[in-house]
Amino acid sequence: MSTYDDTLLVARFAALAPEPLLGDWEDVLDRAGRVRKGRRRFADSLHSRRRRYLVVLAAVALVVVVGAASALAVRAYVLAHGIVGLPPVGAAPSAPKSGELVLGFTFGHTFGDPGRFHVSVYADGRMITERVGDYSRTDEYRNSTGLLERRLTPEGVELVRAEVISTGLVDHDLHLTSGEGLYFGQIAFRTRDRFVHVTWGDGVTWDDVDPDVARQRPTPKQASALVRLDKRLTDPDSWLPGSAWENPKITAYVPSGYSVCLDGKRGLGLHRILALLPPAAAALLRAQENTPGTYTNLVGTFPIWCSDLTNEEARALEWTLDAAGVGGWKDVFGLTYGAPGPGEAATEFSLTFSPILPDRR
Amino acid sequence: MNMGGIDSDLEELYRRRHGAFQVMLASVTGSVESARDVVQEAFAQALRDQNTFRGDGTLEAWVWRIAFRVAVGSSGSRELSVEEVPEVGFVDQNADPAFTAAVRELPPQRRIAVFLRYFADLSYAEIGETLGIAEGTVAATLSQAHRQLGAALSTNEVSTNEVMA
Repeated sequence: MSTYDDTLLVARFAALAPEPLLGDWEDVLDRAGRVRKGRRRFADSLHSRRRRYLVVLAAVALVVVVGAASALAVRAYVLAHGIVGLPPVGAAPSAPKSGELVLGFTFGHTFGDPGRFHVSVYADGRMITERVGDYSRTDEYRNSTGLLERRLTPEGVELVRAEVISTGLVDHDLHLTSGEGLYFGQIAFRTRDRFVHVTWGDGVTWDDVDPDVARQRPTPKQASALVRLDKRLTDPDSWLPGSAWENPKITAYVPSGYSVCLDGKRGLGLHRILALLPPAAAALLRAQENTPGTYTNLVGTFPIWCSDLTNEEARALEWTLDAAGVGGWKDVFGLTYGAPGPGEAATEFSLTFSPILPDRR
Repeated sequence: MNMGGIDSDLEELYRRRHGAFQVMLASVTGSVESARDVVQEAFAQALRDQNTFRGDGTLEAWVWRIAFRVAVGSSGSRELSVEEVPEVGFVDQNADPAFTAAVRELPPQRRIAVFLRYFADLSYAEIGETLGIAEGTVAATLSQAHRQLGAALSTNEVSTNEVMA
């Protein structure tokens, strides 16, 4: 091979090479299950639905890039049982639109996303679940499920409640550290007049729970009870009678709408972010509520503005963004668009569509 | 937790080469975003499975093999055979269309050898280790690829580049 050949090919390949994104060794360690004191990570914090009930402390390692959710990779590996992106036209939303949450349960199987399980049970019988994939596994738990829905009878709801009560952990609020095999998680359990909150894990706070609450190390018995509850709720068919199901069929959860959140990654205000959008998309969002909030990750705290859109409005916004060539990706968590900014992995803004659950979370 | 040995070698390799891994793997997955996820997962697998690294080749080539396995969604620890090398292509097919078309016409094994050489910046020996073929075979494969590319690209284009070079 001549030097000329190498020079030519090096130059032409270099011209065609995509710009690599920012690396994150901490993320690699998290995926490998390596425990690092003082470090915890929730990669899905790019998804605003989770943002609003799960606040990660400043030590959380996140990569703030448009591609961080790596949706195409998710698409490649995930058997998308839940809806990927927005629901197809004609898909009937889960009814009723709103529901009273009686149980929210999250169980982390690692310090990060892999294997995380969540279930929401509503008074009307809806049981909505989601398990995030764990690529370290080769069994059926390798793939994320997306949001799935089943229907319990009133008896079924009571049986699930009884199962939670049987742990002996929901008599009063309880806050535990990680340990004894527990990584992180929570139970939000509705009693007659309030929610009882049980949380566990270091470096994570939850909505409605004081972030500075005193935490105690879990006892082996408490940890065992939580692990057992996770197994029971993950596989309710193993213990619930057939009569507990109004409809045992597992279907994709179709939301009634999407929470659309704009993030200004570099301290941009709402008006400046809207000015970066295609005019039609900006007009659609200007007409919305755009409730302000904040979003914290490793790099800093950023403002966000969120609005609830109907599925039709969400589709219109998606169409407008696609037509204007704004980069986006979709996965079982929702749909996200973003515009790259100057510098390595910098992002001007991201616009995230997250399905709204019956309890508005 | 072992913070030395392969752990630190993998970290050093990651910090030095994650960009090259992303660029190369984007040609397999179709986007740099998905490639980044593959790289993250590949290095995590390497950390977890470091006991299976036999040390009879370079650490980087071993990680490349893991990365390709992750990129094509292969499960288990079985290594990909030469016949299973992933299809690769440029993420942006519209830029430099004559060149991308010429590269696309290369047989898969020639194509991946070219990508490993010019996107991953691997030596012949490292390409051989990664693909499980002899270094001499890599040299022959790349030579064939260069001849095929030269034939596919226009004489004018080559002449212009010769002058510029």
